[in-house]
Amino acid sequence: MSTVLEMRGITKAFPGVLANDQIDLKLNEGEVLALLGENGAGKSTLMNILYGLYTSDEGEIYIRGSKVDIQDPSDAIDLGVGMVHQHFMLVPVLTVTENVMLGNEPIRNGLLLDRKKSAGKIKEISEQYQLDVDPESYIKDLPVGVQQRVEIIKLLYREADILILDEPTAVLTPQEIEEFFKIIRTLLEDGKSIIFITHKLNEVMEIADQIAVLRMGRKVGTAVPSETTEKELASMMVGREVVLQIEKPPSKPEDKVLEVHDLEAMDDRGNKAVGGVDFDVREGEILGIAGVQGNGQTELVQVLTGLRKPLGGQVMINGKEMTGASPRKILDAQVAHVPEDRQQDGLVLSFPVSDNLVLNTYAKSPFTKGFTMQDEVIRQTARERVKEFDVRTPGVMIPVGNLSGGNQQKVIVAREFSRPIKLLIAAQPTRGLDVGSIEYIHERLIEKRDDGTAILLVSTELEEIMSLSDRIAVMYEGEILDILPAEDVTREELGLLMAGVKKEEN
Amino acid sequence: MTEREDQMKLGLITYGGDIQGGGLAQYAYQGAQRVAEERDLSLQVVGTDEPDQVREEIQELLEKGVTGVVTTSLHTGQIIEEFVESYPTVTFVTINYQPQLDSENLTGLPVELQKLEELEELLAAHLSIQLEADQRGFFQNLRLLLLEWNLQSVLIPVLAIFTALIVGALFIAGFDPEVWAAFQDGFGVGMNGAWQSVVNAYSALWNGSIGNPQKIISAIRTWMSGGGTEDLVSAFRPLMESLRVSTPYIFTGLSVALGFRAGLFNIGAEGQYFIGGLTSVFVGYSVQGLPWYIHLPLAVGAGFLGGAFWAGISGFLKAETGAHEVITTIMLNYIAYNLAEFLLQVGGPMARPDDPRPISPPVSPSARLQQFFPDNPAIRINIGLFLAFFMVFVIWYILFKTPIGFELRTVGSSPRAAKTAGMNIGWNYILAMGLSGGLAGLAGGHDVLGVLGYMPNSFRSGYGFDAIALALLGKSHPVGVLMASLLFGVLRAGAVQMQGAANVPVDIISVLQGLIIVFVAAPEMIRALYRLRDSGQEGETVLTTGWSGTE
Repeated sequence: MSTVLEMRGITKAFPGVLANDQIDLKLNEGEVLALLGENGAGKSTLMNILYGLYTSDEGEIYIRGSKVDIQDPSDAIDLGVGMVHQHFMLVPVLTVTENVMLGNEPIRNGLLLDRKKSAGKIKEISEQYQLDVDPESYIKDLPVGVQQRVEIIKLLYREADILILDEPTAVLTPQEIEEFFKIIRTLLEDGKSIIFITHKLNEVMEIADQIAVLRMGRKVGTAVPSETTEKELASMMVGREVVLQIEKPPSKPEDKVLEVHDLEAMDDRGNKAVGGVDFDVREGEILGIAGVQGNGQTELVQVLTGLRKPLGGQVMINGKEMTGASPRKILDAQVAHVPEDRQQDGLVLSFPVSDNLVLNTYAKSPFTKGFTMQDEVIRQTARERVKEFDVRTPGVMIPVGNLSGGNQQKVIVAREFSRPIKLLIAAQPTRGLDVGSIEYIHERLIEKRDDGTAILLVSTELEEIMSLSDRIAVMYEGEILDILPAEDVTREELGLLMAGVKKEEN
Repeated sequence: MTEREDQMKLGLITYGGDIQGGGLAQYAYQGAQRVAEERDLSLQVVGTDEPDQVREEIQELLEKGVTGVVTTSLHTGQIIEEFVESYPTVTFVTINYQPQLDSENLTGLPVELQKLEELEELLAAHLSIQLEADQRGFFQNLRLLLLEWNLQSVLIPVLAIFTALIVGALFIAGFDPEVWAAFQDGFGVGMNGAWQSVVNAYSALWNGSIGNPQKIISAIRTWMSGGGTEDLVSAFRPLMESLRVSTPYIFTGLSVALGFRAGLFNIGAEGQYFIGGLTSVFVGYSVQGLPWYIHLPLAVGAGFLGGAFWAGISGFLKAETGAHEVITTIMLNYIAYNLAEFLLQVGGPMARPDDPRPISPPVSPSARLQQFFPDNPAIRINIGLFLAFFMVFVIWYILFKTPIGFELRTVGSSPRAAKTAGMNIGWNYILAMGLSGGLAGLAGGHDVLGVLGYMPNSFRSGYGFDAIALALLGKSHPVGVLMASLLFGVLRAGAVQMQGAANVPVDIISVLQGLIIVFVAAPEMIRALYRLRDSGQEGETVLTTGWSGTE
């Protein structure tokens, strides 16, 4: 198998930091090279050098055996290198065709845009790789998974054969990830070569041919999936032993804390998102809600936390009627909420860590006395929380937006876990976090469960649901298809339920 | 001498790092050096590769009585922990090492490799706060406040004003026909003429707003040698007039700033000012026979409530229907204008009976804001100024010290997070608009109760729009708004004199105001002009969300 790309001794220093230190990389034709590493390990810098967004201080790049000099992205594109960024670069109000044409518009009669020619080519590409994209639809109407395919079409349209995909699965649902992997395989069959940036270990094991692990700007190891384990890769990434499979004692469920009967709710567009669900969560157990993103979980959590008015049904918390209660009333009933979108719903990014730690207790003693907030008490408490919950921050007066995603989530966990709580509703608590933070959050959740808290865990990560939950409810199109005990359920069973197939019909 | 030096020392321990090498050590060095310079400490750098030597050097440093020690590596961090408990009064900071020890005087600064540039800023800020906290001095709060404010946020407005004055000078010279005439006699003469023109204009501005320095000095001399205070009063008249002009600016500026903090763009301060004027004047003339200590608060309070009600309508509409406050406040402005027109027209419900002018009856003396110099009606400064100062404090306290303000600011910065945290968004919108409108209403009240003594039907003040500029200039901080208002008061009061004495059109002051706003609103220009580094610190979001960014 021939080498299409080789990077030798790539070194890149930013003021005061070595982002890449003598990195060697090799990509074979028709293969997937997974670039694995935690946030800040230097993956993106390395790829941006390859794509011409940065120039390296040292090192050489060889494409198909000849040395190349990539000064800017147009050089990279000419050499057949294309990149899909983590945050898509698409104009929402333009059509697929228009987006793909941007920057490379075919002209007809010297003046007019040749939309038809582009649309035809896009259609061809779409069919060839089974991408199933309609060139005439508007980007804003397309689901995220399809938008990603549009980004890939952009590369193929420009005839790239080395594709760099930066965290492509971060925004995708498990189902979309499966489809996405199918597309990758079709691309490989056609001789394309792919660099896949990620920090998700199971994906690496599934799709990669070669694995390179980066840590702190250095390449710390290479591997092939058949000869390594997720555990080994994780410790390479983090630099220490990592517990992937959490150890948890059997649960001792007691009284019902949350009871939900025949609950119904609409989504923002007025379609029914939750269609009559029944379940309960007891003290000392974790009920996991599994399901592909967009099957009503978000709306369910919003109704339970008072952020959305229910259409019908009943919610009881601690035996008290809480249907349609205000968020404040629900918070006061000792319910904690770790929201799905932590930056939008969980934190005020411009506020200091200390203020974010009292975001829902600011008006209570000891943080407020009379009409005055007790800044010193708030700061002192914040210092204690930061220590207790291992939030890595230079200080409690630093805006929380300056912290990394994992530390932001720890701030939310610190806030919610420090009040007396009976019920914890955690939505996607580890989405987008690095391995170390995920491990930490998982341990804390189990700890809370063992303290007798009832926990409702909503996650689209099947691994997370299976390793943490005591019982698993599967949501599909707004309904709970089944609730199963976690110990004797298999991935396959859950997978079928998530796809809407019930046992009886099977 | 040496004793002092030994007491005020800061130590930086690097290990295998070069303080000029562009790495972590260099940033740590710059950060520590900044603090050392600011606080007049001497900085000692210890760099070595020998572990045992490091231990000895640290020991030596600590025995000398340093106030703070910073280490920059894992290894030195571990060593330093051995000393932490024996030296409880020393501030220890480890960089790149998460301390295992749990101690009040030890902090680890985690460093993200990609954000190493921030280290300098971070270390400096941290050390400053930490060292200050150790001293527990009187100035601690002030110091923290300044840190919080961050030097650049003060420096940029000052430079903006300076730059605006320079650019303004070009306008003044450029529009002076005498300067053009002088240029025909040669370049030197022309430049001289331009200089004269600018000097004349700006000294007229100064004399008209602060006072003629010679007059002030001679007045003070007369007074010191036992003469009357009349000269003194007249010498300070321009300054007092500036303060008088500033007063409604303070109220309306606070009004808009408070709205910004809550994420609302109150563009209707003008209308709220009108309504506040109407309600104040109504209580002022219609109620009779009350002692001033009841009547005056009633009349002032009526102004507040009038404005609060008027803006509250917009708040209510936003909370209940999502109607954008920019639209509703603009529309309510027109309703307010025309309502005043209707009420005060000759023969109208609030017009002065048997008077050919469309004005209200006079406010009864018991409701007038007392003037400082009742004998000298030309000096219109009144106790409304103190009310304005007091409101600056009140609004600052509400915003930054009370749970009410915490909610307002949270709603303003992130409505979704506020909602999730159990705050009632709609109520906060109504409250914020109410307070905001109340402040604008007080401005109207001040003008009718303190300055005019009646309400005319058409006094389009332009306060509503100047207020937006004031809030921007003052970064939506009450103290900033106060400063901006004083500046605008000075410029406005001086403008009249400038026109009279130097024959410079009043409009040039509007140009100056506009330039100041432009430079403040685009700090990149000022940074580029004066080669300031971007501090990279973004303050709390004080502007409103876009048209579709509402709940």
